[in-house]
Amino acid sequence: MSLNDNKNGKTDPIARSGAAPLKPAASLLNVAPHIVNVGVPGFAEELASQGVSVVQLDWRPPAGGARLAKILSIVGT
Amino acid sequence: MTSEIPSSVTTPKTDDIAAQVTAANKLAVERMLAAEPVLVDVVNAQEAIPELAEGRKILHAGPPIDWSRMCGPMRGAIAGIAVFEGWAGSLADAENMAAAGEFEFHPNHHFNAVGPMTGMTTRSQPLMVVENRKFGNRAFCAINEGLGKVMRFGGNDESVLKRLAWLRDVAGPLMQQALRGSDGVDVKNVIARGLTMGDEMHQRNVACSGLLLRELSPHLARVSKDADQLAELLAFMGGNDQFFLNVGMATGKSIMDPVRDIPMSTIVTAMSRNGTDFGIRVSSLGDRWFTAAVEMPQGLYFPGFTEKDANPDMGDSTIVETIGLGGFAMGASPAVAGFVGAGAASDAGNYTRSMLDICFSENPEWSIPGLDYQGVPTGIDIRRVVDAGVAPVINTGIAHREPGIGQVGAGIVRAPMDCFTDALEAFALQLGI
Repeated sequence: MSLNDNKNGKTDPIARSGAAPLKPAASLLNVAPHIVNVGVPGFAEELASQGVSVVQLDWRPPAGGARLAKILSIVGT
Repeated sequence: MTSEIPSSVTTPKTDDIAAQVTAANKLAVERMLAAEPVLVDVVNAQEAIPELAEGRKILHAGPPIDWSRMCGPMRGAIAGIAVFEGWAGSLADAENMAAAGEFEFHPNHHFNAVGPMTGMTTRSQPLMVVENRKFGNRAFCAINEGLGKVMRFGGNDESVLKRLAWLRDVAGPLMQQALRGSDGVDVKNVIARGLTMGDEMHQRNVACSGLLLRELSPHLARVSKDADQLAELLAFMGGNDQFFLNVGMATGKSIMDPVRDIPMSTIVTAMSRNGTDFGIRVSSLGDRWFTAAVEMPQGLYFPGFTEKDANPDMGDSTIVETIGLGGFAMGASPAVAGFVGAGAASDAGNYTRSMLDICFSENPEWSIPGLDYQGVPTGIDIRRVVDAGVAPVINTGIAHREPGIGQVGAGIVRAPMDCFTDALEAFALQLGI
């Protein structure tokens, strides 16, 4: 599926009309989004509650905060 | 100690602290890999640990804890062992004496010992002795009691005390004679073979228990003067898939004690829990325990039990994870992944791979065939735990929260992250950061 294809695999109607191909960013308005939520899970939960497909990536800032990050920058990992 | 601490790691300079920590951790892991643990003896506890001969000392699993904060199984075990030692006439008397401060409680770890679950160690119990022949130190652990209602899960009725008496009067002396008539059992070799046979040495010990039985049987037969007693001991050992666990634990303790007190090292030398607190010790931070509330295992329950029956995690057995076994070696044991509810057999390797991220190195002598002979993750580094935000994974048995009932399931649990962040803060403070 190209960025100009919609979720059913059909070519975008604007592209099919012979107009200039859409830039990738413009296709965001024409295809179903593929969503990956990084970090705070509340955003993903909100989408999921509305039936939107979303992948949650468990991530948090390295070292759990500025103080520990500073220590690690000195003692290494 | 045959290894010397390089002088370069004893006088830290602020501009190369990271390099010095790495050098110190390299030394720590070299000591782990150089260890030569051998099961050499079974001795009476007050012979192994002379301090137990005086007063009413009870050694327990985990970091230090008072009676008032002890969980149900720990209290049940203490009441039972006090009756066993003749210090109390009944379980009720024992509990009253404990509350009145008539017993001294100390961690096993403070006396070169370890114990599974409640981890009771008192003066008259037989203790297995694992000697680290590379460094000359010894570590102790009681003989595994078997399955069902046992003191390590807080059991304390007559059947439990009767088994302890049999271990003291029959099994211990026979094992002592057998081991003294042998060259000892090379535990490192047994574990290496066990890993190729599907054991991870915490919740699955069936292969190593069989290998140990094979090693000991000729020596037991040679010293026994009573065929019935010999048969009873062989059946006891052969009927207990977890018999090797306590040997593996003493092995872990014997490997990690020479790693203590290496200046600048951030390698974890002990992880342990008492059913209330989880504690870790770190090489360069002395005998200090870094503790946090222990977590509840997530796992599978035996028929008739649920998580409502479970006690929080407990025991010194996490010393096996500290040397790269148990949850760290899950990839060697797809069968145990199902037993502890850790997911599909194909997930087992992921646990081992994730533990590589928080360890300084791996152990080429303890390799996992199913992971293309990957060595088990070795040398938990508090820096990497904090940086990755990944806590050590532990395979564990689950005790009933009430004393006297026993094991109700098996699962996995994570070491609390606060232990590692607190230790890293203390390490930084020590360096003036």
